[in-house]
Amino acid sequence: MNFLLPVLKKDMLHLRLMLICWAVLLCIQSFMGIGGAKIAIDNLQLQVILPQLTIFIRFLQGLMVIVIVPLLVQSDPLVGTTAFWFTRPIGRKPLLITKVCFAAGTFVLLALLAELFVFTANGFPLKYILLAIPEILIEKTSFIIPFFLLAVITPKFSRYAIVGVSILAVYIAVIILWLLLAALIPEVTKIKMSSSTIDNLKDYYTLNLSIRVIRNIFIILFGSGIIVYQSLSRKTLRTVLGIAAGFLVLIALGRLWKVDFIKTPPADIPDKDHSRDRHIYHRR
Amino acid sequence: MEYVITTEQLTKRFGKQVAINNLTLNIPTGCIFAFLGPNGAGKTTTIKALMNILSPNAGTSTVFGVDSRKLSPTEFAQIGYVSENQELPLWMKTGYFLNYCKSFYPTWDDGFCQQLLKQFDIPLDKKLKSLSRGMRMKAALVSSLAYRPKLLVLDEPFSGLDPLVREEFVSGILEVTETENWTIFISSHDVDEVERLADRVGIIDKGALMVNENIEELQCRFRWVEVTLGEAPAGAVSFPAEWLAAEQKGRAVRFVDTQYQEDAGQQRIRSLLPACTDIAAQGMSLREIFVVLAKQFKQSNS
Repeated sequence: MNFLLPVLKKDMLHLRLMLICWAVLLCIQSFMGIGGAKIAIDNLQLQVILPQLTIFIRFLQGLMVIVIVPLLVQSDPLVGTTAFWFTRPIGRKPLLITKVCFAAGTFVLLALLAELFVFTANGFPLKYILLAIPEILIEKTSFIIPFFLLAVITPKFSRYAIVGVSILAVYIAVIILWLLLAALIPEVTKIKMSSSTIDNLKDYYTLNLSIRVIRNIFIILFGSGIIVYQSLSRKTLRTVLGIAAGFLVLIALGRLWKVDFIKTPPADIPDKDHSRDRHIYHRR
Repeated sequence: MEYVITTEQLTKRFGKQVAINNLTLNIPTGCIFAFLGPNGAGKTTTIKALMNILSPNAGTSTVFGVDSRKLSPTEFAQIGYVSENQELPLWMKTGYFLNYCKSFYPTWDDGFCQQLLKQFDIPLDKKLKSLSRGMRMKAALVSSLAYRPKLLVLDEPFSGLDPLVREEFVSGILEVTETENWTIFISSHDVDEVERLADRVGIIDKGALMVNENIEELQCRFRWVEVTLGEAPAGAVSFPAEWLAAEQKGRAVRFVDTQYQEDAGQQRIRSLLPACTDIAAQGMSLREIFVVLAKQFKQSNS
C-alpha cells in the first residue's frame, strides 16, 4: 500500500494553521521584496522601517520553521517506545520519505520559488537567477537540517526545546570562556587578529565565504546521513554520538579549511609589493 | 503445532538490571494467552521486544515466524496492538483517526468497524483528547480490530478503566474472537478479567517465566488444602516445597498444594501428615493462584 499520501495528508492537516502563518509571512516578504523599494523611494521613514521589518519577518519565518520541523518529525517520533506508528504497518523508509518531502517541499522548494519570483519581478537576468539557485538551496537546506536532526533524537517538542536551548547555552558559554581566555592570555588571539587587518580583509572575507559554503554542504550531507540512519535504525545513542562527532568536524572545518574557491576577481588582487608588506607584517 | 509467537532464551537488560531473563515461550495459533506478573516483572518489556519496539540483548523471538527485529509492515498488517502506554494522535477526531488507520490495512472491514463502533458506543465527531480514558482505549481497540488481525496484543488494556467499561471491553473481545481463530496475547494485572478471556497463562517474575500452562490444568493442580490433625504435633511440621503459603495453627494445617491430584493428592497428604483426620481441598481462582505465587516469588527474592 502507498503510505506516503495518508501520512502527508495527516501532517498537513495537523500543521495547517502554522503552515498558513508561514505562507503568509513568505507572501509578505516576497511582496516587500518586489514593491518595497518602489514604495519607500520617496519616503524616508519607510526607508528606515522596511529593512527592519524585512529582518523581523525573516526572523519570524525562521522561528516558524524551528517550530514546525520538530512538530512534523515528532508527530511520528523516532525516539521512545510509545509512538503510535511503531506497531502499525508504516515502513520506516516511506515515513522518512514523507517527512523529507514535506520539509523540503515546503521550506526549501516553496521558499526558493518565492525568492526566484522576487528576482524575476525585479528584472534580474536569467543567468544570475540560475546562479543563485544552488546558493539558495544550500542555505535553506542547511538551515533546516540541524533542527530536523534535533527532532529525530527527541521524542517531544518540550524535550526538543530543552535540548536546543541547552546546546545554545553551552555554545554561548564556550564563546564567553574563549573571550575570557583571550582577554587573559592575549597571545592566543594575536595571530588571528593579525590575519584580519584591513590590509587583507578581502581575502579573509572570501575565505570565510568558502568555509561557510563547505560547512553548509557538510551539514547537509552529514546531517542527511545521520537522519537516514536514525530513521531506519532508531539507535538514538549512536545517532547522538554521530551528531557530536559531526559537530567537532564542523568546528575543525572552520579552523583548518584553507582553500578559497570563491576567488577574488583578478583586478582586486593586491600588487606584489603590497603582499610582501603583508608577509613582513605577519613576521612581526 | 503452529506457533504465532516464539521466544528462545530472550534476554533484555537495561544497564545492570535484567528485565527479561532467558525467556523461552511458545504461543500456538488460536490461543488466548494471559501474561501475568507483578509490577516490574518484565511483561511490557517482553511485549515491546516482540513488537520490535525494543531490541533484545540476547536470544531470539519470532512473530508469525519472522524475527521480531525484522518485522515489516506486512506482519504489522496482521497484528493488532493496544497498550495503556501507547500515544494516540490526540488531535484527531475519532472518525478521522479510524479513517487514517484504515489507509494502512488492505484487510480493513468497514462493516465490522461500524459494528464495533456501535457495540462500544464511540462518538466519531469528538477529538481523541476530549474522550475519557476508557473511550480512548475502546477507540484504540476498534482501530486494532477492524482489519481482523491474526494476532491481538493487549498490554494492560484494563488499567484505569471503570468496571462497566471493563465489562464492555472484555465482552467485546470475547464476542469478536468467538467466531475468529485469533491469537490473543494479553498482559494485565487484572487477573479476574483475564481469567474470563484466557485459556493459557504465563506468569513471569524478574524477567523469568515461572508458569506456562493451560488455565484449566493450572486450576486443577492448585488447591487450597485444609488438614485437621488428630492431635497437635509436638514440634513444627515440615512442609514439602510444592506446598505454598503453609501455616499451622494448633490442629489445623492450611496450605496451597501446587501438585494436587484428586485421589493421589489425598494419599500423599496422609503419608506426609499421618495424624490427619480430615482433608478439605478447595479449588482456586486464577487470582488466588497468582497472589500465592507472587507472594512466593517475593519471599524467594528477598
